[in-house]
Amino acid sequence: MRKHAIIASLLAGAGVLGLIFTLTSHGSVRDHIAKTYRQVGTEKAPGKAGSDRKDTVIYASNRSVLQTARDIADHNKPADRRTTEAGAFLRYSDDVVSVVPPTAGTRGSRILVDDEEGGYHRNYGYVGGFWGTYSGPAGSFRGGGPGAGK
Amino acid sequence: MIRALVLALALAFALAAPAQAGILAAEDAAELAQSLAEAQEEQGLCYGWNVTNNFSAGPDVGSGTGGPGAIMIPTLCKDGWVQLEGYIEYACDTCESEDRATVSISSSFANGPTTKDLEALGLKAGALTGDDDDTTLINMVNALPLLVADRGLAPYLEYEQATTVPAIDHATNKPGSDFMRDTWIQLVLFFALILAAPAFYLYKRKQTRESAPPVYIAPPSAPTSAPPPAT
Repeated sequence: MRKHAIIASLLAGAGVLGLIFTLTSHGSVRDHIAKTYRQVGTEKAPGKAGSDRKDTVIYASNRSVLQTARDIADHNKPADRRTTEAGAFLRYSDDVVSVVPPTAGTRGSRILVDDEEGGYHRNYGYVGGFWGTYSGPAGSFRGGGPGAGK
Repeated sequence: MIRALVLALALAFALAAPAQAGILAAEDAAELAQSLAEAQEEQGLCYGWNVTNNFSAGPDVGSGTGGPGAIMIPTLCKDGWVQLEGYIEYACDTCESEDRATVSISSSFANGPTTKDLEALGLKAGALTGDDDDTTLINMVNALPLLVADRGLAPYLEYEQATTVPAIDHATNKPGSDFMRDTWIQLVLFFALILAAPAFYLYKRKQTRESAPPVYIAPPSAPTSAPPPAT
């Protein structure tokens, strides 16, 4: 019986240690980007003003748009994503990460980290109708086709 | 010029289209073709899509040069072209096989974009048989100019921040917890380990008791009447 008690204790211990590690090691996508990429600026976030609003933080990556978007999404799985001709947009619970081409004359990519409101406003032309309401051209139909034949 | 022509074609198509072919709504296809036309104008390359299926009268097809419903003609694109191709098959209700979809990217470039690039962006062919099939197809086709630029075959298209957003528009369907999304597999695994520990112990204890031989209890022996030893 003593042997079984030891095995049971080891199982429970591994579970508790794993839980503690999981709870303490997880960081937000903001944390990950801040640790991984070079911050190049901040700016006032677009959208309505409010005490709970966060400024947009801008980072630079040496890697291409595709590689950078993949790296971020691999580390922090987004709830939704939108890929367009001008960038990849990752949606999280409270944040929107926009990975877009670098400014002219530079290489790599730019990363814009916004809160939800800022991300939706900034990228309205790309995510409008997909992640929220859209009353622009063809708005009532955008990205929401019912899909036939199912 | 191209943009205006495609927009006119797109509007005409959207108004005239009698029925939806494939998985894209006519209006979505028109907007998609327009965005490809704009990319073509900037990058000088032609883009299109052609996704056939087994469930509707026609395929999902369109291009930046011809608009929605018009297949791209590579010979008209002297600087290069890229096209998303695919097939969606829905299994019949009584069949044992499952719905399936395949995609590939054809291009005039030897080192052109591939489906691995799409997968790196989280765009997998299987999603074309899911609830978000139309959004997946739009994302795949929209990504083509980005993938081409990423490989250095053309310049990136400029990212344009929205300047005006109607006051009534806002984000909806707020996503759930990022923590749970990232860690739910670990949480389930570790909780299972914690629960398994006492279950294992109790099971083994029961098993040990059941397999142990019955304990023989000797009857009490009769009291002896022998005299105490002499001192």
